[in-house]
Amino acid sequence: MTSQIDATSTSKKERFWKRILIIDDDADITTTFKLGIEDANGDTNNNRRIEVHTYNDPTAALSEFQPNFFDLLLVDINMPHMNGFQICEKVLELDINVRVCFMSSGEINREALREIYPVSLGCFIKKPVNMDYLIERIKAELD
Amino acid sequence: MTIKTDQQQNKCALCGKLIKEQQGDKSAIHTEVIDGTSYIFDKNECVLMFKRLRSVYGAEFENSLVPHEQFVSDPFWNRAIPTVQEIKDIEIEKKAAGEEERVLAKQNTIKLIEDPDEIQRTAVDIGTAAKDEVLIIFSTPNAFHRQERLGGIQALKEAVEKRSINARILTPKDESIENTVRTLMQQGKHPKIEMRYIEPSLQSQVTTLIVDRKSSLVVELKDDTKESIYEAIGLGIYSNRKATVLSYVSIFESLWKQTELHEQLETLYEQLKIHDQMQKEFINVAAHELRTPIQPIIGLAEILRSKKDMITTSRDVYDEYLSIIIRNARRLKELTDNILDVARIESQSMKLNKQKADIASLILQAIQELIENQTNIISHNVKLMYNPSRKNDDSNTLLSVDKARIIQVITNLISNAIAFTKKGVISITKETRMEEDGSSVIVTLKDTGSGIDPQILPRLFTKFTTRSEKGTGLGLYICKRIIEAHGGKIWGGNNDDEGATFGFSLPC
Repeated sequence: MTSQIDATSTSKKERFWKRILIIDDDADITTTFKLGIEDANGDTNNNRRIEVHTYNDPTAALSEFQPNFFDLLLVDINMPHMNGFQICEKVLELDINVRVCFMSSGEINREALREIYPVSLGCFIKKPVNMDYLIERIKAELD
Repeated sequence: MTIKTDQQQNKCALCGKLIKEQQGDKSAIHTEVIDGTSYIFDKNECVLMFKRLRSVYGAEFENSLVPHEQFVSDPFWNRAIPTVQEIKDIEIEKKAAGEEERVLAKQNTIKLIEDPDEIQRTAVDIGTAAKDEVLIIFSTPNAFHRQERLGGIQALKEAVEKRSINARILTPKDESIENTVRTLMQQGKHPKIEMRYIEPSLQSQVTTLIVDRKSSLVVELKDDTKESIYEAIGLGIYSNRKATVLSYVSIFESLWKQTELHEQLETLYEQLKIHDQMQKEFINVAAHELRTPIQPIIGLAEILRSKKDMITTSRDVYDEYLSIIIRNARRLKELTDNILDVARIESQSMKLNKQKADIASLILQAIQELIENQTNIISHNVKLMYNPSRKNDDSNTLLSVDKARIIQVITNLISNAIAFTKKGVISITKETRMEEDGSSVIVTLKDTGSGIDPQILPRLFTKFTTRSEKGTGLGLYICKRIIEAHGGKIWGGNNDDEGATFGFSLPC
């Protein structure tokens, strides 16, 4: 599923504060997150709207990735073919400034994981997650 | 060479050496008169020999000695002297060996052997005399190596092969023994040498040899650090007393049995570890699969709650959210049902609620439910066809089955076919087949999809088989258990052209 928002969104009257890239193999989850995050600031006066791009296929996400475009990567660890850490590495190669948040619905042994992937799991979100909490964490990471 | 001419020189008539005339007061010259002729011999060395030879060869000797003068420079003669000694030695040995043999052959003896040489010889003797069976317990790995170096193991191997003896060896283990065992076991067509390893805690201080359950040799270990057997071993006890030998046999058999049990335990432990690992993996997969649909349910429900105006303004979007929620909730139900099914099957508490039913109607019900649920999105390019058999299958064969479970099986098979078929036809057939042991109803599903991954094929109906993107890999396993609980069979394989065919049979 490719991104539905085109690059000219920045010229629209609603300026986006930050852009997020979400990669998860489950389409319903990406739909839910996109809806939840983009609507998050609709009610408040805070003009900090977040633009969300979602992908279910990591390969497509990487091939269409633009540097200096995204502020945060929200990626599922547990995916067939390529796991979240591998995707993270590749994205950081393309754009070192992207912040990363990992998600997982599996059982995670953090210590064992740190041995394999020294990337510090600074931002780690367990699924299923409340939309409010998710948005809070994302905003904290973006600030 | 007669004395008359060489008298001054005093040469010995036998060996030709010059004789020292005087040795103290006594003369070193011995004079013998043979056939009227006088001969002198060296008293110290040759007289005795001459006399012996004369007694051995008799008159002949005298005849040949005197006239032909052969013996002095005759190489044969020179050799004859030591040979005679050899004959004497052998005679002495034979006598001694005869004594020993008689000892071994004697029934009901226990003999304490102190000489390491004799211990080794006894071992070899009774070993080579074996007719049926040789049992050995080595005290330490070095004991094994010492025998190896002496060629004992090789000799045993040859005896086993040539004379069809059974040999069993218990030995403590080290790396090189493991290699030796492997090569021993590989060579030879009928390896009748069996070897098992003793646990270090069960090692003993004696090496035991038991032959034909009639004789035993128990050898003390004195110093295991020595390389030579003669320095390493202490006392040895040989016995052919029934009570003694049989008690050693009993010790051997107990140890042998114990190692067998130990090996069985190790195998079971390994299997248990694997099983445990599979369980852990299952839990991980199950957790992931269960949590995934919960996310959209919670997320979208929360969004819907916070956007109260949606209900009136954007009905389509609202409906879409709700569909996603419902779809995921259903998926969750399916997953929990699957996992509970597996748990029930494993703990053997799955009960079949059998009723009379017509398979054809069950198939139709399954198809109906699938269409209603919309759980599986059938691509527009795929046709689902159901053809009851064209043979005279008017008979609505009523089978006694658990309706819900059979519908579950059919539904699962159709869902799989849909998941793997992008275009083409999924055709379902049902027929009744007569066989010797009764008749059965056979249902098959053939699709024109991507087929079954050959790697998965052997494990198709097992738990945790890898699935398509969605699923726990439990569906086919559950189907198999249900069908088999009904006394039927289930199968699946790839078609020659494209796609796969699954089928099951139920006895009438």
